[in-house]
Amino acid sequence: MRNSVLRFLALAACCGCARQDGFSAADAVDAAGGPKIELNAAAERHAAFEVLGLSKAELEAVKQLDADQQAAVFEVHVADSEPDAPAMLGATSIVEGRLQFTPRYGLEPGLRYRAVLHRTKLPARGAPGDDVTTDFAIPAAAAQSPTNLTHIYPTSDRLPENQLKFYLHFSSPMSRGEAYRHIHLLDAEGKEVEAAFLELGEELWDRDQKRFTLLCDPGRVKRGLKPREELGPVLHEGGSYTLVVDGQWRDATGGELAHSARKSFSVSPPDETAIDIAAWKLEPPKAETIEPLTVRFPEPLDHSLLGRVLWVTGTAGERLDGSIEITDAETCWRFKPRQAWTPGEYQLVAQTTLEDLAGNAIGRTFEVDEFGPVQKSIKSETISLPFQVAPAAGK
Amino acid sequence: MSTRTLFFMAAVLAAALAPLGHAADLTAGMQKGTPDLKSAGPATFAPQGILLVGDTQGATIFAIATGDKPGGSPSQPLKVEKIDEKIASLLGTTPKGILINDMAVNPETGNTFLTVSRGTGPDAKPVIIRVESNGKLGEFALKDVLFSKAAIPNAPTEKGRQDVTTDLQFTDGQVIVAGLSNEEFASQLRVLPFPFATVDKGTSVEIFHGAHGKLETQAPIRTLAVFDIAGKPNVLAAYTCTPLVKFPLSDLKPGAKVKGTTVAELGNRNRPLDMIVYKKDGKDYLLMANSARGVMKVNVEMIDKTEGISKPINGTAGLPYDTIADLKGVMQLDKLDKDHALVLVLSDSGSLNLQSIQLP
Repeated sequence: MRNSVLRFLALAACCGCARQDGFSAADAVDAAGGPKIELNAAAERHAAFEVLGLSKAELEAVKQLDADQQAAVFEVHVADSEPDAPAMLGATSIVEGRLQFTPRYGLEPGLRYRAVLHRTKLPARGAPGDDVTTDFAIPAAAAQSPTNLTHIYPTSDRLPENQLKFYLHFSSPMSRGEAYRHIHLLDAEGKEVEAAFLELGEELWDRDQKRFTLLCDPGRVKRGLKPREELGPVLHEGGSYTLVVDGQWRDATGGELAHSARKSFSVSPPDETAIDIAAWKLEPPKAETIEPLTVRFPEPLDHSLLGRVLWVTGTAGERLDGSIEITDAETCWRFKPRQAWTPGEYQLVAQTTLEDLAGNAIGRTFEVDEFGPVQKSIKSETISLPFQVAPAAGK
Repeated sequence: MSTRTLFFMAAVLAAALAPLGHAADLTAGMQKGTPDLKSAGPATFAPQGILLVGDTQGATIFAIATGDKPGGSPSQPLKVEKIDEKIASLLGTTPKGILINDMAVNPETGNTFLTVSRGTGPDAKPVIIRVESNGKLGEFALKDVLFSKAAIPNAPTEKGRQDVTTDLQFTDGQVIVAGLSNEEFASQLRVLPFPFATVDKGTSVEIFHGAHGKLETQAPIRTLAVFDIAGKPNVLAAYTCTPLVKFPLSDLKPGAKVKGTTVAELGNRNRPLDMIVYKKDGKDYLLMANSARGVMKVNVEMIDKTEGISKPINGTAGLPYDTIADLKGVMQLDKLDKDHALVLVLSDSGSLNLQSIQLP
């Protein structure tokens, strides 16, 4: 059964003479009476380029060639690539009388591809036929609504001098490989702060590439290292700054952001104290309800870690199912259970890896006093705070 | 990317012992098929042509028996200009549609393997490109090959958190994997036994570095090398916050907390990218590519006598180094042979060139 053939606007070149008259490949080649190249969009795996109209003798000659020679007879290139650029990877085969090239990787929307049949490379009894060249323009992807930068964490407009991380959340997956070109830190005069961020070629994304982690250069956050000695800290106490994300940052489809984004903040003294969970205030819920447990912190904590390393266990030690809400500039954490609370003792459990804005964790500051006792092994990773859910009134 | 001092030593030792018996077949126990890489990141070679590839998306390290054979003369100078454009052409796209993630030279053949992403979104396809020493490019197809794999110990399972593998090194019977979390700021150094075992799942180690006597941080490691100091293998690690530290390989024990000795400190804007160690005229050197100074040649001859930096020092701190002025824009670095390195260089025009250089 012949697959349906998509006819893209194609420019054909026969006998080495490129036509620019907008004729389709089929029209051009039919008029000349020789083979023509088409793009079969419904081939088994990817779209495949196909040569129709080769003589039986030519097909037979192709069959006699090895794989490399077959690939050299029918090549496909990205149309605007360098003259010495290699042909696309793919598989060449003969299917139902057609010479077929199936690209190893899919064709890219918006690009033009040039398929060339080198008939001169075919062993033939008489004079070889002319080479056939056809360009195919792959339609650009349908326009989608542009991607937005939806949130920048921390949300507070006052950050410590040793602020360590920012999280940038996007509405759709983003492109990897260009992040740092689009992120700028400006001082109060609008001058860019140089070398503010740790630039990692790998880039720190979540699995969906919708959340980007931006680290302030730790060599300038941590005291006593040469980058800080030479350039000073990234942020200065008392200063005002603006984090700017420009709109040219491309999403995974190649489209630019809907608009640029800015976050302005002032800088408070450095935070050099560990998280002390004794200072957390718990507001226990009522029994027989699904009211949230509310936990209030004396300082903002890391938004992403709050969503992952804090949970509630039930009276039998089981982890409760429910939803988390983080509000009040990351100083408030609420847990709403899927099932109503029953009276009894519960535990708020925190992994000790929870960090504040300056990378201080539970019981451990970002920078540790070296003269203190060195912990030789990794110990318990969680800490618990008990709370009671009292019986409902009248029960 | 990578240092192969130990590897070369092992090779020399293996050659010396060859008459006594055959080296163990490192492909024993591998399965034949299609390794299901979700991404192809940092790469290095183990002996017998085994390519180790870090798969950040899959939180897995793959060992792939390449069966790589020499192509061309390994000693001839190599230069492939605009290699990003050529790879993009092979993959049917433009240079904007690919990322070259890492580079590893097979020291037994002189052929180079590049780990590449075809696409830049979360669904990008992993590709391995092989560049023969005569400059010919082709895909190393991940089909019907012998391979094994090991899950990265304690890797995150949540959708949001991801540990990015930043470097990996092979040393005798071990693969050392350095990584960085996209949430906690902490070192993620893992050690996996090789060949990958099914029982020993490997171990996590926490690495600290001291800074000027008083403070220390669990800082993430950017790049590392294994290097013999006074006859004992040591790890040289460059932190994201620039100190270069050493610690004995034997310290990497399950659950250990290791404190490295700071042996050099780079100045501002010197983000370490890649490093190799090599010997020249009987002396040991470290070659490090970094974001600002181009390539630095560090004399590690005195490393075993270096006490460690414990006080703030004005100017250059620790081991002496030279900056190789004519090597700029080096993104990737690996050792090609005893006299040459291979570099991936970002040219002024914005394209990438792959070329061999004489070791300085």
